Amino acid sequence: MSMLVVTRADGAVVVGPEHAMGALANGGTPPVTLAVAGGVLVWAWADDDLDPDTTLAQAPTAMLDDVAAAQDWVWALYGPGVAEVLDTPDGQTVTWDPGQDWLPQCAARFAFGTWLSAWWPASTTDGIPALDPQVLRAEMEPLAARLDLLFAGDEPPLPSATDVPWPVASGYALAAGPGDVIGPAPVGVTVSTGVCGTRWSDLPAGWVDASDRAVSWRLLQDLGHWFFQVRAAAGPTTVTDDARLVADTPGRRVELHPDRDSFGRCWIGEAVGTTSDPPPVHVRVHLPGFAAQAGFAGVAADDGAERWQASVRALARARLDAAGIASTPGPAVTGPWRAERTARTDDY
Amino acid sequence: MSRTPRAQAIDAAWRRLGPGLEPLSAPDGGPLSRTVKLLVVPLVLRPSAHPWLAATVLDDAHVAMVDALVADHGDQLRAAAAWFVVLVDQLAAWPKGQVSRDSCYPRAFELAVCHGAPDPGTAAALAHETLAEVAEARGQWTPAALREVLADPDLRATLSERLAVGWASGNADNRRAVQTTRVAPGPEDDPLANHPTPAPQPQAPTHALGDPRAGTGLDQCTSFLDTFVADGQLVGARLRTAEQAWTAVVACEVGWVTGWGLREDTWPTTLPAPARARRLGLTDAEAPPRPALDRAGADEARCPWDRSIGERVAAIVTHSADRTALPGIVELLTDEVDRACAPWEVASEAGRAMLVLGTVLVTGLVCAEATVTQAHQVVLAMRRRESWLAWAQRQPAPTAADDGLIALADEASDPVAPYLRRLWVRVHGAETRGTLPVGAAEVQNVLVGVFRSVLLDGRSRVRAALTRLQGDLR
Repeated sequence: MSMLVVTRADGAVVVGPEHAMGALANGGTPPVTLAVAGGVLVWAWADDDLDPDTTLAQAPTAMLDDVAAAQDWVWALYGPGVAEVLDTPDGQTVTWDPGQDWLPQCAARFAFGTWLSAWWPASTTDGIPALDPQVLRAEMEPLAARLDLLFAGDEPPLPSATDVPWPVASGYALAAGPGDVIGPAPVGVTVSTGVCGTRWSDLPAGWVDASDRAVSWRLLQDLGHWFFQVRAAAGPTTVTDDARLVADTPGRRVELHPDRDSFGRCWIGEAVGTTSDPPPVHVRVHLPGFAAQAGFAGVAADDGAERWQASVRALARARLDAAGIASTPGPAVTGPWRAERTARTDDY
Repeated sequence: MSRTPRAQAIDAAWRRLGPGLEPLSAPDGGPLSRTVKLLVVPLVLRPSAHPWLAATVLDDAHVAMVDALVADHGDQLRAAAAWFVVLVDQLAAWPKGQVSRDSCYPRAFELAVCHGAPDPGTAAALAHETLAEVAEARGQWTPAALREVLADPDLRATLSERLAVGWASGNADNRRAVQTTRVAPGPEDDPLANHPTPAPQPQAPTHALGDPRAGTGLDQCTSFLDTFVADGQLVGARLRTAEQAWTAVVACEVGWVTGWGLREDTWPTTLPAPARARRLGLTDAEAPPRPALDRAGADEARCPWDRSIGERVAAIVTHSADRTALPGIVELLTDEVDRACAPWEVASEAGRAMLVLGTVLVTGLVCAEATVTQAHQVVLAMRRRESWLAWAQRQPAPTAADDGLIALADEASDPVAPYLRRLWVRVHGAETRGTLPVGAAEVQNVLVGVFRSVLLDGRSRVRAALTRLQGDLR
């Protein structure tokens, strides 16, 4: 069994493999996490080449801000030695020796399920089918019951399984043309069009198609006015009529509402104005108030999103391939989920 | 000598009891968290009687004690597991929320102790009766029920008078009396006998701004908040420094002075502004209102200082672990009137000191000019971790400052009101139970623990806001 280091930093007690200590940074691929009584467990990816087998086999790093609450499960996940060190003032190195052998695996499997439900890159454009949240949830529920200890009897953090009808078409819709670009201009001269993706951490899971070609816009000009039209392909999550997103580009903001056009479910909106800002080079579609790092500089803030999002897409494709191959069960922690086996490119 | 975590000792002892415990066990055979928290610890280990079993890590002798206690209660625990099933079945007979599932754990044990294993012929009826008692005990202390007690015109008149006089004076003369009122109930015919009549003339400072104690008091607060330890534990010399600083905060009566200032709206300008009772979330009114004896309407007021005396007493009784130890209803009401009249509407200077410390801590988070102490560093780090977790789990950020389309109250990014509301309720509850923190470490734990609770509330709230927009099957 590997070694664990117990340290104190920033008002929290950190327990974990020594090499994982620096991995809790912002940016890069979001790690696998699990909120538990007294803190949070983190399985950090080693690099952009996402390898669940290695990542989830290691001991998670725990950040504890309520050690007393965590003591109910620390012995079972990390071992009595860690529980004892937590009871003393000084940090130490201890062997990873779980009091309940099955617990680390079960916790890692459950946490991986929550990670997949948050970051699965469902996209009709990319041909990555959505995971049915109800199927995933059903498979996670028995795991949650076994993890009662970690959650101190409180509600486990299961992914929500939503099922509301997508709002019906409003009749107001942009005619979308071939490719990703919005079709013929109703009025005026098209001065700029473009296609881009989103930064996933700007948006709730599944609200917008995860492709890096999900968003298209067009800027028209006529008689001193400009019209700015934006369309974002919708993801698999259904939302209520009053859900709104915004598309930002310097000097212009468009509110997007859920709609349906000839290409399927989408978010759509347009704005009119008279400023003479330059045409957009990038549009940021986001849910204001959602992302912690608010602030807009005209381009997506560089958290390496494009790169790590590509890694997650690659992981999803590999997992779908593996899930489709055979009925042989995969590794206990990282093997295919039923939701991955049954995933289909539905017409969401 | 080896040491074992208490949770592990309980788990091992539980498994040794063998089959028959499934309803109270997790799928792998260990006890459910709720079973440990609500049944095994309070009713079998009873740390109140065996204080050494309150520790999270135990030495061998005490592990053996846990073993013995659990083994000795084996038959009762198996019977309790059977009763638990019967109780949960019966639970369906009550409207949702009236009887909690949590109350089934101790009640199952109680039935097991009194009746042994459930008898199929009588079990359902007994369980029903038990839950009826639980429901009735709850009902007895609703604000409506208290209104009936308060319907007695003589009692009303006495309490109203006491409230009027006490409020005007900040209950200056009475404060020591309130702090020490845990005496035997008075003679039946004169429930107010133990309470000195409040002095009619105001004694409290009327201009807290001009009170020299305000300035030094706030320095004391900052000193204490600087004794928090971000990296490591509060031990040795650091602990001694913290104890001294805490003693100084209480001794300088900054609680009294600032509490009076809040009521008079003369909050010391040396505190991070704006610190008015309304801004602190303690009242919805412009200035703290004199509490009513009772209040129409079924819902508890949102802000603690808008709650009536009756509501406050109802909270004391509802959260009491042992009602038989409480004084009579009239004494509770009288105590509460005196408490409500005091600055910060709590009776002890230690309680007031904690509220001032909490105010300095939490307003410092939203005020650029505030002195950043070690305590601020600790809670800011906690908030950073919470934001980080929201990002990692693709959930709405609890601290996002933006024109949020996600319908969040200001509370999501401004912790002041939720923090002070929770802290006041915590201090008030601890005071009435006689469990106010005594040492600096405990005070620090409460100040940080309340912030943690506020963050967790925020987590549920932002998730609920998102779920609303997505609809939800559950």
